[in-house]
Amino acid sequence: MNFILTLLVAAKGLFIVGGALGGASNVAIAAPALLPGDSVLAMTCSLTNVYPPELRKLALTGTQILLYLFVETWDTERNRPITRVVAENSLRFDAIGDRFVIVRKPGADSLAFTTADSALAASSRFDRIAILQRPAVSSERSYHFVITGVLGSARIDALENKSLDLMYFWKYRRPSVRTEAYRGADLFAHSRGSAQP
Amino acid sequence: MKNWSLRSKTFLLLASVVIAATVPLISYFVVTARGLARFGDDPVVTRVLGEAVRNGGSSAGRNEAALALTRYGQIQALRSSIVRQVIVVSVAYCALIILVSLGLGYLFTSRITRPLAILIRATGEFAMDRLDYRLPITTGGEIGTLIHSFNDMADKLLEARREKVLAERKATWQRVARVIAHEIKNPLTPIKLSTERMYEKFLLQSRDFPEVIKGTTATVLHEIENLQKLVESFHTYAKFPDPVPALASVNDIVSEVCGLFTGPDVRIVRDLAPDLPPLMIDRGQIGQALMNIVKNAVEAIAETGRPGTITVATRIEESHVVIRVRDDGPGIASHHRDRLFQPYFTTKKQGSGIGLALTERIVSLHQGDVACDSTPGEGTVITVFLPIRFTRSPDNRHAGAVPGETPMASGSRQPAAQRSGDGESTDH
Repeated sequence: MNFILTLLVAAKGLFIVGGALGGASNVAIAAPALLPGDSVLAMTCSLTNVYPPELRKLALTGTQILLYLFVETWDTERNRPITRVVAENSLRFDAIGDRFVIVRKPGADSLAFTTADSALAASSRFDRIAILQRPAVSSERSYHFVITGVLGSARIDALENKSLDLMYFWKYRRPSVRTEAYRGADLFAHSRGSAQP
Repeated sequence: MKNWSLRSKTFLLLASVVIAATVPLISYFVVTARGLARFGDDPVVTRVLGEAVRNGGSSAGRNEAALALTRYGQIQALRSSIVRQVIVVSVAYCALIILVSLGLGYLFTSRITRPLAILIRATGEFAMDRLDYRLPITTGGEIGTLIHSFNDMADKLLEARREKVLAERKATWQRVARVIAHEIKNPLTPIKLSTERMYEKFLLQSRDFPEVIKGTTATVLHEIENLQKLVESFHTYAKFPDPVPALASVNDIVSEVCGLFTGPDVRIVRDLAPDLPPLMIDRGQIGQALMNIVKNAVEAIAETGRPGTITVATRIEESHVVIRVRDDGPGIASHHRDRLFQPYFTTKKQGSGIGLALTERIVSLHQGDVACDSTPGEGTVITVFLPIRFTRSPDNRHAGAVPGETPMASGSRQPAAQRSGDGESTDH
């Protein structure tokens, strides 16, 4: 009985202490690219080293893996956020269909992959996320963007459906990057071309 | 480990018990966790479930197989983390248990060691002759009983000490009265005889009455003078003040005293130990005591009519500083040795016989002792023992002391020379 309780504590306890063991997580946000449009600013970016070996194994079991990307727009001079957008990639292995399914939000896109590597790579990428509307910014002011990656919780059927915070696999470290500041006028397409941060 | 404190031993015992109790438990948890985690490591299960998913008959069956495969895979994926967590939680729990146990052990042993420390301090007070020190009874059980017994013992010791002091005081008075009676009787006899002779000659109207008057008056006056000297020395001995202790070097005192005795017929040799600790003593009184001893030795050598040597040595012996005065004089007969330190005893033609008695009194006031060893024809050794523990100022316990009273000193040694009066046995 004590052992079962310990197992439940282990799952529910989010492996907080155990996360201190083992090597450091090296997940990072790579090459965010801004895509100015007429009225919407979009962004594409990828996360690297998202799936350490244990998380990869878990993903291959058919456990749903949720990966979030938080994009905050900050008024640089006032140093406060003005908008926040959350994108979600959900990866799940369909054992019956023998394929990997990725569902993207917002937008509810659904992608299917037959190989694990391509599915994992695709789930780490966020394409053309609308992060900013034109009316929200002023042309004369400066803005920068803070991008943060987060893993969500997974339901572990083997542990009586207990929720497991997958951030354990990233050692509870959220990768984050801050872009340089841009003038509001440069963030939308009618004034100049794509802006690469 | 024999010299470890009670608290250390209790800590060790507690830590051993806790570790002995928790380490097997942790090991059991880890082994069991690893054992159960192996359930997720069977490729046959994975293959069979995979085939059931792919080739299973009904949709519901395939769904169930897929769910089972997912669960099995999750165990496989998470087992390392679970085992790691079991180890970490178990070790943390064990550490917490050890800390709590040691904390509780500290609290409980304090309840034992604190009264014991108080008891130890109380015995220290007893060693310093503070027999009126009592312990408050603030706890029950065995410690309370021990404290109660200690206080009872202290009461009985104090009572016994009072009775002994009274008995010694009485014995001393008796001894002094005997000596004084003896010393007074000696001059009274010639005074009486002279007065009777004078009276007889007066009644007979003898022709030699003037010469008889002259002779008997001279005798009476001489004996009265002796009586006066006796009274004077008695006064000196009775009113001898209590020592005023201060840190002093015994070697310095010896050197000072020896420097006072220079002469062609007596050679004084000093053999002083270099490592003597300073003592809390009355420098003047100890100097006087030593002077009496050296003076006696000088006079003894002078009686032989030939040159002699006096050796004054200082040493540390056990817990005492020892001053040893050795002379090569005529020695002291054994029947005289027993009375050497009695007041008014002397074998010399002149002298009050109070010097060595004063020496003995001074040394006793310093909680020391003096002994005499002598071989007729070879010489005499007088040894003074001063306790080294007398390095702290003692309480003044001798205010208004009775003449000849020997102060009650806990732990002082028995004198080597037995002191007695007129052939009666000593009452020690």
